[in-house]
Amino acid sequence: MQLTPRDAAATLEREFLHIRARLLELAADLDRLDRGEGTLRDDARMKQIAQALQVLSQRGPGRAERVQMIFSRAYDPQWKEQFRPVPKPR
Amino acid sequence: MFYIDPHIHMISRVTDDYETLARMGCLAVSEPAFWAGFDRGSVDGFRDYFRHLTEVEPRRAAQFGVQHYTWLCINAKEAENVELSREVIAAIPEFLDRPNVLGIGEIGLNKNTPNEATVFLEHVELALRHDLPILIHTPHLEDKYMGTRMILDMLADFPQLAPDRVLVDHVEEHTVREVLERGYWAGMTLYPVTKCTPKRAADIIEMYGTERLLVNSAGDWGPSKPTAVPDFIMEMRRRQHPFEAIQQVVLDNPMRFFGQSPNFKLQLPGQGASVVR
Ligand SMILES: [Zn+2]
Repeated sequence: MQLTPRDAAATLEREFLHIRARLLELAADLDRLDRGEGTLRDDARMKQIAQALQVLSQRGPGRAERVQMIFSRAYDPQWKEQFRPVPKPR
Repeated sequence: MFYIDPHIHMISRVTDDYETLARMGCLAVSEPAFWAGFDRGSVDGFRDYFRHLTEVEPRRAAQFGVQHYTWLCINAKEAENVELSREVIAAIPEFLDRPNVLGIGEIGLNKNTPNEATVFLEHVELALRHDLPILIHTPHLEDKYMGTRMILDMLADFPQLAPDRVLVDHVEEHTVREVLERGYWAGMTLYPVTKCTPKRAADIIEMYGTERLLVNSAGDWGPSKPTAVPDFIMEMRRRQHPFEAIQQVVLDNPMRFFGQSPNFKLQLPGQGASVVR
């Protein structure tokens, strides 16, 4: 069964305060990282966070999927070549 | 609303949870074999675990009118030990005729290693030999995408395996499409932080429809919520989606997938006779 799309204005009405709250939470998280002692410049996770924030400000659709891919190891289609199954005992 | 939780580890939950699930409308749970939080030392450790899954939990569930089903395997984390895994795979048939066993699971990958892949393939062979459905665990977080694709690649090497006999679990936005397109069932796990939330699961249903999609709590000993499926139902109702659509995801789909198992005989409330759809 395919569901009929929800009305955008009604969805915004329902979600607005949640979105606002989560944006504030995220802003405060990033402020907290900034306030901490030491530098995170070389931490790869900071680059992932920056990339994900960029995706949020782009147009949809598929932002959630793109954010998932930022936090994912890439698929290697040749993986089987390095994977020999462990031989069964005879 | 009546529902089935198709993936929950009741061994890690208290008896009160069964009562709460029953009050929420849960008719049945299915409990795949998983990691106990430590690596078990011997094949007899697994035999005891399988006795727990096939004797103790069904009794505990029945006190509250909840039907308990299970899936047997050695999980992906302990599959790193290939020798022990092979002993466990050889012992599983001792338990396959127990009345609540639905199939082989949750098999899969954890860190996407050659040993895990070896044991995964041997579990698929076991399921095929006994003509049983398969429930698959996909890896966590950054390993999920690669691991899911590897699992799909390995499944494709079994042309005799019908895709609708396989449920690929823990799908998220970046893995759901591929799983559904290849004809498998897909499970979404509702976790507070690390997997899908009820809202995102509802979004995925809005984008992909209700066919072959299931939701589960995967409640266990980690941060998880055994009543996550009712949370999903609430979210769908809040969005005013039709009752039939919600029921298809939380009841009809698990019944159809589990119904492929000879042992699945769901008793609906108020019905003396068991029904299989
Ligand atoms: Zn699980």
